[in-house]
Amino acid sequence: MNRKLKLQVQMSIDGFVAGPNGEMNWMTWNWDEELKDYVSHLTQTVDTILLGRKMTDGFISHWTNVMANPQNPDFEFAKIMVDYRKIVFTKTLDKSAWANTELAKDNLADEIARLKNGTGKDIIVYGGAAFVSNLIKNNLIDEYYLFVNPAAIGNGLSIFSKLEAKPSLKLMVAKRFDCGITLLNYQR
Amino acid sequence: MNLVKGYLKMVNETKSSSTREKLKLQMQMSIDGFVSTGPNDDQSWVTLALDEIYQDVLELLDSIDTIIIGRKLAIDYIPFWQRTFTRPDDPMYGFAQRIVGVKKIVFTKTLDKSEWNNTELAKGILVEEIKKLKNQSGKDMIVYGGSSFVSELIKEGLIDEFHLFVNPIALGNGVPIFDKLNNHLQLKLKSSKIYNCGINLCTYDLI
Repeated sequence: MNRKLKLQVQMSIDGFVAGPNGEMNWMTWNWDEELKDYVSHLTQTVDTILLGRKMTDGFISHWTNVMANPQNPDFEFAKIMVDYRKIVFTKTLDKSAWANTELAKDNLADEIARLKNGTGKDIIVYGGAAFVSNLIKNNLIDEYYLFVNPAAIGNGLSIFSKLEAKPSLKLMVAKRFDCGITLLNYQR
Repeated sequence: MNLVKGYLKMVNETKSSSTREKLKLQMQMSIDGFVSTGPNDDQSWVTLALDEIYQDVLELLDSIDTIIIGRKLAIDYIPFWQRTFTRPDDPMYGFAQRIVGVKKIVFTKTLDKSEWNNTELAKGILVEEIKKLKNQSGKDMIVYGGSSFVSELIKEGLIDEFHLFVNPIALGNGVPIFDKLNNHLQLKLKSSKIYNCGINLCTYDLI
């Protein structure tokens, strides 16, 4: 395999990636400069984004809107999100309606293996929860970048809930950021 | 000179009679936020690295003089450490010695009388009992479990400092401790420490 599949998610202390209805109001939004640099660097190591079909519309329209406004502090990041090659995993769509976006309709593990064997930088996935759960369940994530926010939310959407085996991961880095977020970086 | 002495005496007296500051929680946790699995509270997934974390565990234990504990856990926990304390070459002997030595307060609705040394029962309303304890003088307090007792403490906002040993494993499902929260609990990250064994110790303060 040439390319690694990286997962980047925001997580609560109790292991959720969103509230029961997708709520994100528990997340820390005022990132410090060091965290911004870290994420920016991580983004530079990839050139392809995987997306579950359900979150694709929201993801692409959000970043396209941000990119329409050069004054927006997220402008540079939005440009990257719009420009990078995106692959949408779907059983239902026949044709991609978005720019720089392809559909993957085959078996998940086969499609990922094909991408990993291709050329290019690494691959990243940000969500959604159900899609990431499937990737984790099939042991397809090579590197986990879990940004643990300083909040517990009691219940919500999990990305590990479909696990049958209990994978032990290798902790590579744990990093504390001043804004209160801790990065836990694990390898498969 | 007398003024200084008088001032120091006053400061020292204030200090020695000051009330406890904190109720601390120490628990082993999976990446996905569980503290045990299955009906028998299985913890076989916890990374065994006593030599690495032992010093930090002891240090935390030395900052407290009282352990609070739910009845369900107490009936196994207290005798277990009493037995360990009879074996001076046990690797956990130092821990056992401290656990046996400090005061333990067992929260129960059903027990009438404590049958263990250095142990009292608390039978009132949780919030009031903890407030009463926090208003006493002494060092801090700690709780190690069990999970449902800890869930209640967290729900009521009674834990002041969280020491979570995050193990490098995801469990998929298990027993949580934040599940009884009615609202989001915002905490302040104090420190993060990585051990070679792959455990990450995250310390949070209640805001």
